[in-house]
Amino acid sequence: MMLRDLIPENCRRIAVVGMAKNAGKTVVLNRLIAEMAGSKEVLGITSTGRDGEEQDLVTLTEKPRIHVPAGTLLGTTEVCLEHGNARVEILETTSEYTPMGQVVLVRVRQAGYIQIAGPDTNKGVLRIARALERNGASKVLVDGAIDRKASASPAITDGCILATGAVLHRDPEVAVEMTRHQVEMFSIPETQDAAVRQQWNRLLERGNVGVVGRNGEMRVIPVASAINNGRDLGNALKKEDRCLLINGSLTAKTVKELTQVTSLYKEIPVIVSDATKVFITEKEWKIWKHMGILLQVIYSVKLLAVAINPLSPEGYEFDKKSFKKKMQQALGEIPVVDAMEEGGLD
Amino acid sequence: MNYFMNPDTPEQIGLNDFLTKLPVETEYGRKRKEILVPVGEEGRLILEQSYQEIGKIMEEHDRHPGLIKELRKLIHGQKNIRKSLENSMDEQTLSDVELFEIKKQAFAMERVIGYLDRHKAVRFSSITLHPVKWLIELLDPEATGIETFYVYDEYDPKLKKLRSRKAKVKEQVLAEEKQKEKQVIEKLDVKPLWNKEVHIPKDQPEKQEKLQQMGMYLLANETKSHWIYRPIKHELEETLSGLFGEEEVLEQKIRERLSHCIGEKGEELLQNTEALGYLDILLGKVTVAIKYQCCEPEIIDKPMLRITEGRHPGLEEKLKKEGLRYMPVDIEASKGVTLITGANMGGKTMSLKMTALMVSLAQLGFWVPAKEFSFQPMEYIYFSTGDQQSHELGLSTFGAEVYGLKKVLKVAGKKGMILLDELASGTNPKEGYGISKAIVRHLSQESAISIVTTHYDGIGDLPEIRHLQVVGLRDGHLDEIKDELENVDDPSGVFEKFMDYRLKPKDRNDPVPRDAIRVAELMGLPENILENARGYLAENDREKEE
Repeated sequence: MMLRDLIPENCRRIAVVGMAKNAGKTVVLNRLIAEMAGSKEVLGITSTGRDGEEQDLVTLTEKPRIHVPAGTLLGTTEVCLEHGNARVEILETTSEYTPMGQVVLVRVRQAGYIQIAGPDTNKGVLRIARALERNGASKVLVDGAIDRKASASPAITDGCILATGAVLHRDPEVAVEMTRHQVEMFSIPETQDAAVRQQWNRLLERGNVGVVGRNGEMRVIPVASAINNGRDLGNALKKEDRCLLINGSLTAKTVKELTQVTSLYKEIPVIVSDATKVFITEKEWKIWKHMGILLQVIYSVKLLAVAINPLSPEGYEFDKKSFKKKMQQALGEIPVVDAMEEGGLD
Repeated sequence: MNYFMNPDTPEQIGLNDFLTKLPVETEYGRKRKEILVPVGEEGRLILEQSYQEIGKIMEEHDRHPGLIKELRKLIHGQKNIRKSLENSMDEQTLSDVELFEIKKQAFAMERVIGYLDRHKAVRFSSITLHPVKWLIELLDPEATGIETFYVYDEYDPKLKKLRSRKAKVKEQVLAEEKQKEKQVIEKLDVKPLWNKEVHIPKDQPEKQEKLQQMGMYLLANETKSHWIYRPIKHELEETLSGLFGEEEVLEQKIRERLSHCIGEKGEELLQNTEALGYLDILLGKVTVAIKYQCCEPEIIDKPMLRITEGRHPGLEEKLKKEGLRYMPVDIEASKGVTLITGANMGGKTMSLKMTALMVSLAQLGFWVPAKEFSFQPMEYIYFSTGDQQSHELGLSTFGAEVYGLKKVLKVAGKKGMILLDELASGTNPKEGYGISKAIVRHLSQESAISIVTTHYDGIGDLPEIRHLQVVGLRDGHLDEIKDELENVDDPSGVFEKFMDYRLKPKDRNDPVPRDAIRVAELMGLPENILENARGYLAENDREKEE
């Protein structure tokens, strides 16, 4: 099975995210590029940057090194351009600056290897994706991230491919369970309340936490973030409020504090930007569900496929077939593909 | 000495606010805007040139509506490439991104030059734009007119040859790979992966043997279930990677050459960026001059200042939002002291702010929001709000005022503008009166133009002082005002509606207006208190007469 075939026609921006380093994200990217090389699609590629990875500046090790055919459009940084051997035409500079220099839009004139790095905000990535499309890209791949500090690239794309694998845990059962939990996070329902969406956009300008009241009006709660302020959040809720909006990360601690001061969490949903902003373990999630905490997102993530890598760089490996089978059973409808294997359905 | 003796003044008089509304389109303009400094009398020619250029652009804009917008569009978004130019002048090699930026700006520059050539009336000598055709030819060797950059084949026949060889070798490599793949499928019935690896299940060792016999694959790795083979790198691939290296060397030589050519004319190109920044700010000045209906300042040789129908743009915009009309004010002042007295809420402070704003704008080369404006450039502006405290120095209102006065009295002999709001109002009235009168008397003999607002009676009695008075609450509207005041929460709007903010010369014999009691009455202070106030006042006046 071709990975390419798992991407629907109307899905123009695709994020590829890894559950951990070495989960096989680069393999997936390279494979998608190779698969699309023969198609009519003009491919654009960019990445979400990550902060706090200084060693990247020197070794560039964590940025995916990918082989790009001629005609591919890229949004990557000046430093990456200098290190690659693909020959490119500079199309635009973007004024999006990263620790690795400005993000530049280029067209590959002669195929070769290159590393991709991009802006570290959702807004920045969105701008680059749009610029790639303006220059003719029909599909945009975003090398994404779901770690704490990084932006939520899955939320600004139409679809997402999750890379996971043996690197997560020595026990295949645990690796499967961790993946299943992440996939469940991705399926947190999207809010259907138009007024809430409107207030969300206002909140981004006015603060970090807000409560939407019965009539759709918003009260901004004056806290720097939801973290460590769960009590204030809980105390701000009133009966018949519509929801609690959190611009930023939601942690288990915040929810715990909130539930200690009010029981309204059973009626009023907590809404975050997207699933990548929720940081809880599987165990905590189970407790939440049991308690009846209502969680919703503004942007849902459309998970297209899960790519598994049964090899760990630490030297151990899972049995390919049984790992894939277990993963598929745990994920139900979501297609599971062996990143290294060409035939996903053997 | 700083032009603004108090660092807070630009904020207080609304200059900072005004400057935020000055639009700029380029990074050069933004930079220039940040370092705008008022020009003194020594720069009179520069100022007059700026005024004239604003006027000429406006005239040309009248003849060709859309001119300003067009020009602004042409320079819009230009980035600062000065660092790259300087690097090239230092014989450094520019990167592709730098060459791209230079090329892009060359195209923009060429369009600006072309546009200005078609509008000779605004082709000012102050804006020196050197031709850049050569630069465009240098960076667009295929003459496509496309504003992207690539180390083009055209730069060097060797590069062209090298690249076509590279392409051929690559094709060969691909063809061989395909051939290999075909063989593997035929002989082993195993399809190589997308990354060219061949994975052979360990339960089929005969396939491994066959593959090894082919001599084209090497065992690279193995898992529990599979052997992983990778294709052996063959000669052609070595050749290819050698070609990559050669290409890189050749490209770098071309970059060196291009950078050198640019560096040789770097000085001219730097001047062009200066010109772009100047034009940017100038267009911004025209834009605000039109927006705020400004007039061209006239520089005169006498130490005086005349504002006809002046407006404070910040306040005007605020009133407009509230649906109120701004009442323009005339002010005339010269060397010595001009005293402004009059009603509470009569706009005295605003008149001072407006004066300071206009003088500083004019010295920044702007037109000013008035019908007519003539002045002499100042060496400094001192503006004391009369209610400021100095937390830094730990001084009270009065202390801070005295501290400032001490500084300004030292320079009062120079051509400057001293604006004192509510002089000595922060201390007891009797002493305050004495101090005020003494300071006014001193300043009346100095070269600086001083404008002083005060509530103290009798200061205007001093000789050689011009005395202006706020016209004040218009008579005949008192009942109306009272009615309105009773029906609103915020009384300031009501006064704005019925106050005549204009200043008129006050004759020495005109009675001092008692607006404070009137205002208090209108705002509803109890009648018995007002009555007593009037009583005490009369008593006081009688004592004075005796």
